[in-house]
Amino acid sequence: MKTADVVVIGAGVVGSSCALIMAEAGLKVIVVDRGPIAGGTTGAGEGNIMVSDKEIVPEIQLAVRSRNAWFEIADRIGNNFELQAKGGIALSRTDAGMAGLRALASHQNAHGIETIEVDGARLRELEPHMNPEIETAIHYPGDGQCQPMLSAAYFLRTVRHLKGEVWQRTEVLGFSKDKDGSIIGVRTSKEEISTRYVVNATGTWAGDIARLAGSELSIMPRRGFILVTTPAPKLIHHKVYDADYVANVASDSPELQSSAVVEGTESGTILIGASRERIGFDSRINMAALERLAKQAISVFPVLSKLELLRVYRGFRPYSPDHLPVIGEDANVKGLFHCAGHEGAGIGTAPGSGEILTAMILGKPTFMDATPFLPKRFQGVA
Amino acid sequence: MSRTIIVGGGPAGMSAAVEIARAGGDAIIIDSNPRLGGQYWRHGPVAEFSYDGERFVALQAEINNHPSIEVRASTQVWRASYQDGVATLWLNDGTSLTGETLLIATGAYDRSLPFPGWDLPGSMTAGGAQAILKASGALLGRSVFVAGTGPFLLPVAASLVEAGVKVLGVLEANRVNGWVNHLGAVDVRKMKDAVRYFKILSAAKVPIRMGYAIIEARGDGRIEEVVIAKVDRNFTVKPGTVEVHKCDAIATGWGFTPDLTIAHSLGVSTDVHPIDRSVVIHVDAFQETSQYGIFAAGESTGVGGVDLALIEGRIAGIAIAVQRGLISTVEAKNRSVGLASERSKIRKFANALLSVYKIREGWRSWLNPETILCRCEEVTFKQVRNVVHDLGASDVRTAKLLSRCGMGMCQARVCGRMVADVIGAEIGAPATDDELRGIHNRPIAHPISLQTLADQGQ
Amino acid sequence: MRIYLNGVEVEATENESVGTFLLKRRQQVLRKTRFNDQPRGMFCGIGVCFDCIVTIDGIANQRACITQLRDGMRIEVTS
Ligand SMILES: Cc1cc2nc3c(=O)[nH]c(=O)nc-3n(C[C@H](O)[C@H](O)[C@H](O)COP(=O)(O)OP(=O)(O)OC[C@H]3O[C@@H](n4cnc5c(N)ncnc54)[C@H](O)[C@@H]3O)c2cc1C
Ligand SMILES: Cc1cc2nc3c(=O)[nH]c(=O)nc-3n(C[C@H](O)[C@H](O)[C@H](O)COP(=O)(O)OP(=O)(O)OC[C@H]3O[C@@H](n4cnc5c(N)ncnc54)[C@H](O)[C@@H]3O)c2cc1C
Ligand code: FES
Repeated sequence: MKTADVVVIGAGVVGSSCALIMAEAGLKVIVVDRGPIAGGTTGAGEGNIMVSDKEIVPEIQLAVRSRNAWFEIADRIGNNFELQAKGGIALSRTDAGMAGLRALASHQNAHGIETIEVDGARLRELEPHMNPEIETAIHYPGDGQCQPMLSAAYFLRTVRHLKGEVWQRTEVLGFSKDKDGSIIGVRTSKEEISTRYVVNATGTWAGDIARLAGSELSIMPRRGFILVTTPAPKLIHHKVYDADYVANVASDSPELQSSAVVEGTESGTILIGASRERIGFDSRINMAALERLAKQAISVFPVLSKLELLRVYRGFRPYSPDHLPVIGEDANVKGLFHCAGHEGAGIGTAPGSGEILTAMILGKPTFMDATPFLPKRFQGVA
Repeated sequence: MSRTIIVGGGPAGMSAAVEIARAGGDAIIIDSNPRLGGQYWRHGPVAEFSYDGERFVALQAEINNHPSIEVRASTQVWRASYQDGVATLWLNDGTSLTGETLLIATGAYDRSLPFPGWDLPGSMTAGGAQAILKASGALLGRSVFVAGTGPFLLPVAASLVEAGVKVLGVLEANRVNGWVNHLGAVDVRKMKDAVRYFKILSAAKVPIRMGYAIIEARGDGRIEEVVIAKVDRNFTVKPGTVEVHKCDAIATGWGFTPDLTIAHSLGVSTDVHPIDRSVVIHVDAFQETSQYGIFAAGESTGVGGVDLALIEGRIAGIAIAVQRGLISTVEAKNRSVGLASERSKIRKFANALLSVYKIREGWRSWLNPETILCRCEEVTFKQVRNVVHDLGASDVRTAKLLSRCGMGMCQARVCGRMVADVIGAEIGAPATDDELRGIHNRPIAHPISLQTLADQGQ
Repeated sequence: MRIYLNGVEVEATENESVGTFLLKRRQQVLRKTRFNDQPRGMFCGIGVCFDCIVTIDGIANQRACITQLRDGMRIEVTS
């Protein structure tokens, strides 16, 4: 039988971050995914590493550490995944909106996020093509960006170099437990792996794995569309979004929500996100979402009216009932650790999540108080 | 809602429209070209045909004379959907159309194979060379090679000769003998065509070389010379047969790829063709797809040429008239006499041609590590190999997303199939049917102005 | 009919695509590629390959082969 220190289920950005950090810590890791690498939500995400949209303290702490961890990983394994500290700009065109942004900025500032309020002249320097009617905004130099699929692929490449293994197209069929109910193995469609630790990094599908192990976890999909334009010379330099976006993230309304989040990519295309809808795994294109995103983006950057839509990405963000990720050991099954439900921030916060989980498995202190992320907040202990 | 929407005004779409109008129905034809005729009748505004113009003129006249047929030219369908029995099309002029009956007649485009230098200016597809010549008399070059595989190379070379181009050679990678005789068995017209092409080419002393291929094109900023070589039955270069020739352009064609973009968006079932593994729309005897009210005709149901497109279009038009209650099934039978048997005869022949002019695997030996596979994103053979062997991509989609191969503006229309074959070979397992289908998944069929999109929501 | 080619006024004929018009003027190269700065011209001739893209009336990435010339049209090509 194969043996591993840890089996990570899920080869998305979250699973591959966990695997990388564990392998670097000297653990023998096997990553198992029923599909190819980064074939889930990670292949549909935008790659923003954002500190600017975080409001709740634990979320801010996770995002700030993760952001730095991203750059440290790039130093260690090489930046083959288009990581860059491009900076973000949050704007609002209403006084109330701006007041809200300022309040958020000072709260974030108190927790270690760099924020700079900029006036129209400075804004034009940062973004020459921005609508001249926009006269003030908050600049977040700390926001970054990466190419999520390449990131996951390069993390896993390093895991393989550290004697780990990546099993693609391998279904997890069940778990073996000892008489105390602790995990001692993972049964897969290939072969059984003997292990004491399992990381459930299956994103939107994390509830299925929890059930398979005899527990429960509520992770649901929230649909999002991103518009991709035809390639253009560099027009947009930061990731630019308006304040409504932050309001949307925290909102509980299932109907369509959207506000422009506009940014350029290395390859020249411009990404316009992001709509949010809670309507299950419905993969059909919602024209209203596309129209609204186009309109909102043009209102921030009128120059976009001269570009064309080339592609649409569609993905399902994994979210938990309180919109915080679930990181930590299952309350019912010993040895089963969840790392899922990162919603619209899983790319940005993957490395920090991996660090927390690795520390937990090794019995070391975590860099922050991870209590708010523990699965037991949703799990009645059996 | 009662009128039939026809996507594609080529031979298939035109002949269907005429049948629908004859039965008293309404139809609207959408085509991105400024004029009807599709890829075959790609003539200028004043119909000047070197050959076979009569059938077009007759069809066009009948379409013009039927007020119940509307033609919307220079208009592209950028998105399509089918829900609850209703098809919706979004057009690049910002409008949309809905209907319960729709005909997919989107035709096909050239299938291409890469080789070093195929991206140099002066390198065109065989169909492209023919299209610009027919449409406006433009010449791709002065001295050219025509190469690839398939019977289509001959008319292309013949038209170029007639237009005054010096054709230095027709290189047919497969070794084919006596196919003119096969043609005769099917259709006298085809037989006459072929004889005519051979006459033109032999009068101009154009060498036709079987078992030869262009394996490289070179030049500083444009094509200046080509490397040609003899290839074996698997398309692998035979050592010691390499020749270098000066020329200023090349036209290469490897058959056609049915255009399934709109079909895919409408969710119709597709087949993977047993001979060349091209993805084609699955239709029944009445040319109806798996979706009620959605019909398909012409090359998008499988490459078969203009005559098959015309017949399938007629059968579809008549079936649509029956489904819409315009004519009885008895009347439909009267109108369809001989069509079904003619269709199966040509289809059989088309399949025979596909077998003879198959693309053989050895073409990959022409590639070198720096050869561009994806023209749009400039992704090389080496980069594709790298995502498979170094990054662990184990399927077509992942290799594409990690390498950007096929992520450019053409949305993998040009490289999709060929890259799937390359990746299949690198992984050691050929692309699955569903992976081949996935190549045609383009929810946004053609780029659409963001402003037009934004205004649509008003 | 007149059009502007890289800002220069030129005489043009009706019923012609931008691509064939330029080819007849021996303008085979229509653009340089984004990453490697390589020259490209028309390839498929029918709007499929997007190799012939030029800027037309300020809108980038327009296919020269399927865009018909219009009076007063402004075309930018890179060669
Ligand atoms: C439109 C959109 C835009 C986004 N933009 C951003 C952004 O800019 N920044 C950001 O930080 N986040 C963004 N996100 C969110 C981000 O993409 C996700 O939070 C993140 O990708 C989740 O990663 P994951 O590894 O948890 O899940 P996934 O990438 O979905 O990985 C889960 C993996 O588990 C595998 N799996 C599932 N079930 C099983 C099983 N039973 N057995 C084996 N394997 C299984 C799947 O095959 C999959 O590969 C965006 C999301 C969307 C939809
Ligand atoms: C470039 C080229 C040149 C060819 N030249 C010849 C030739 O000289 N001789 C010969 O025998 N055969 C030629 N062929 C083969 C040709 O496929 C058939 O002969 C014949 O034209 C097929 O008819 P059809 O009606 O099925 O499709 P087509 O004639 O291809 O017609 C399909 C039409 O659909 C339109 N269309 C597709 N998608 C959309 C959309 N999304 N929105 C709007 N319109 C759309 C296209 O513009 C096209 O006009 C050529 C093929 C190509 C690709
Ligand atoms: S030449 Fe291919 S799109 Fe114009």
